[in-house]
Amino acid sequence: MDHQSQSQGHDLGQGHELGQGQNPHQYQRQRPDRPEAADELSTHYADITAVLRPEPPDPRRSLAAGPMPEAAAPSASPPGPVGGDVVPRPPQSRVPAALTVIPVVQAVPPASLAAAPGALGAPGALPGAAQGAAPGATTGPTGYPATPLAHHPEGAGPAPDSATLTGPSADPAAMAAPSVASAPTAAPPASVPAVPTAAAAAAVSTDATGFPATASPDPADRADPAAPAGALPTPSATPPAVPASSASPATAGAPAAPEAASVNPAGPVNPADPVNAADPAAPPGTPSAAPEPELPAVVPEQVRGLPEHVGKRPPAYPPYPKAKPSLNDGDTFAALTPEIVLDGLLTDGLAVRGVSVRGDSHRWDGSCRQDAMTITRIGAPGKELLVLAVADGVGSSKRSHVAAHDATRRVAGRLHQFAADLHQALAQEDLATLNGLANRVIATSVEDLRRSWGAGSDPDYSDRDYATTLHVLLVPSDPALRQRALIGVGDGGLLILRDGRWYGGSGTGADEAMVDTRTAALPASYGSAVTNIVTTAPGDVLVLGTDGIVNPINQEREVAERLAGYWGSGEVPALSDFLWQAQLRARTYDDDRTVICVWEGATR
Amino acid sequence: MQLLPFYLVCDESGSMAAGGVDAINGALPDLHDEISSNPAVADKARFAMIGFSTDATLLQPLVDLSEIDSLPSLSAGGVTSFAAAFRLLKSTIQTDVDQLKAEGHSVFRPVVFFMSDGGPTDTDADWRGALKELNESRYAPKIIAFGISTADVATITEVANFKAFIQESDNISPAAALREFASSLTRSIVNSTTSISANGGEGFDLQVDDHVPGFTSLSLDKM
Repeated sequence: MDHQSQSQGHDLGQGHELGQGQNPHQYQRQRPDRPEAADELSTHYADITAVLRPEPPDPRRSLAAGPMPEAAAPSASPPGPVGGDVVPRPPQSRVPAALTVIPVVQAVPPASLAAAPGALGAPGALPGAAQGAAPGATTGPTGYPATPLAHHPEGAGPAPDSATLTGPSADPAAMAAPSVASAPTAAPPASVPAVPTAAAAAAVSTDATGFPATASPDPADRADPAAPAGALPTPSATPPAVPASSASPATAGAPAAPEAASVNPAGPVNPADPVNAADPAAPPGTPSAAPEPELPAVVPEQVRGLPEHVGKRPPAYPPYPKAKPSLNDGDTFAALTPEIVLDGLLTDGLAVRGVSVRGDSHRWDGSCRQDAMTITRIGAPGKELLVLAVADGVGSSKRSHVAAHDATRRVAGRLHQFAADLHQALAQEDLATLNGLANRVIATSVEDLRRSWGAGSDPDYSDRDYATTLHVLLVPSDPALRQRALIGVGDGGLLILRDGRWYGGSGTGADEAMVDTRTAALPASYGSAVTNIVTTAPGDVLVLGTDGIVNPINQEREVAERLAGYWGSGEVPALSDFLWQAQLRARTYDDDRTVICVWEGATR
Repeated sequence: MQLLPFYLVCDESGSMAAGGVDAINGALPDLHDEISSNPAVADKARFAMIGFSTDATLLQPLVDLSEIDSLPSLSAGGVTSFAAAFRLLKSTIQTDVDQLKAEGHSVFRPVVFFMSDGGPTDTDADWRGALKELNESRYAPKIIAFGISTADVATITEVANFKAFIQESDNISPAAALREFASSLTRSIVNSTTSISANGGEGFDLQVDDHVPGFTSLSLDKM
């Protein structure tokens, strides 16, 4: 509330300034009435864009150089995925390429990520086996089967016979997939990342979701069986270019970068030229008709509006938050939990965007967000690790919102204590050590958490009230290190976008529903954390999520394609755009969503 | 989408003529409104209605209630063939679930609300055989059974595999009991469907009132 009133006050203040002889439309253009602010901004952007500007110049820039009517008049922005990028993308880029081009069903071959085959199961193993991120297994099957997602209607249902629908149907030898190395203790012989066999071992044509891959892979997309398995990937995707507007969290959401304005004669707001800047209703005109802005300026903000939806109809829920818990309800933590947490960072070679947002059902019934997210850095400089953690408080558990929130933070803290060892184990691909450390961290964190929640002192304390899943991705800041550690308990998990296609697919859930399985969860309902090492390549996008986002990606082809278009385009979205994209609506998917994306190879 | 199909299977034999079908017909608009206007339920719940007497009829094929304006009415007449009801139910569920899955949806185990105001007029072997086939079918539903009027406790208990209720004839008229039945099943649809979210889409908790006014809850544990 306070925040809201402050913003209103700010807007009013701007309006007041605008009243002093300037065009009232100008306020929409963000600070045009404050040249000094624009100067600061443009200086800032100039610095950032200087280092961000891709070499050679991105062809998109030339495409964007023409008049863009939508940029001239904010109100004329078309509905739907209007880009908030500083450099307006050409219209065709608004349509996710994946919508038509990407055969999600196919197993695709970037035979790239080194893998330990054992835990993935031999080709032909039932997906259920690969999925067995078995709570009871010490380190067993990955839970992150490195097979491409196959969207097929037949297997979508949680029917009792779903297992019968999930036979591998493609030729394993012809396909390979990014894969993960799994903790070795479950299958010692497989513990050494056996690169030469990895591709074959990982080539299971169905994913853990139980979707049969019945479509015949396009031969053009198959891996060359003759290619050396395990060879370093040559992803076709170029490392993501970070648009100026999303260069850093600090700049995300800011109106524009100077060069974008300079190529858009109709849209730019030139503080030095109030007449030109003040008339957004002016026709786009011709480039020659508009004077070249003397100072870098900002383009009008492009309003995203309500989140878009897939399918014929939007969800029945209203597309905005409605009910919210009150302090009067007695649950202080719930009442003070924000609707959305948005975070991000950019290091050398890694751009990160993360959001945790309340789902429609909680917005409707007035529960707080039960998902949680933590993004932070641990360890000493030079051996630093990014900690990306997502947690999903189990809905039926009374204090799960507290559990999810606390778990991500506590585990980050404990990981920090072992950062040097973790970094070394990761750098050496020592999965056994890494797994030992990870489980030690989880176990000690659980001890801490249970103590802080009142176990032992509160007679009413019950582990069941604090059930939460947890998935942590550890990413070395050093761009030369390609290994990432994945530590997970419960559903949700990691997906990988490579060349516009989804890989992985842990925690599907739907096909377990008929047998009423419950997800593994901290603090008490899990055997051990499942640890994996994932080797990635520049151009990959790692998507770590709770089941609120993983399920619709796994189960709704249109969601998978749309998000692949947004996040696999080679461009890192601005924070505000990322927030909008992550809220892509699909009927019946009304759970909280938490998703952290890592754009591998984003350079500065 | 993640869908939970509900089937209302209603006795519309001749004995339901005296106010019975009217009570149900009068309650259906409320059920329709309640489900189609609740966003936590509307998208996920699918509803179908089967009437049975001498034969069974699919009165309302499985539908998203927000896409239709009203539900069809029951009309009384004929005898009471449980076997016909169970056979039509089995084939309908099979067709519906296959269809939904073919459209790419995730489907939760169907839930059946079965209501009869008397005993089956088919042979025991006939209706029991049909019930067995239903319960052993690929998408065997969860069945909640309600007995009204002269319905037999043992039969209603045998039909149910989740919960069973029998009207307390001394306390409530059959018509009032049927209205309570309709309210209870509406609540059940709402609460069960809402539980999908609480389960993170992993499943649902079939929520049925412990006590339905005018009914006695029957134990399914007695063999």
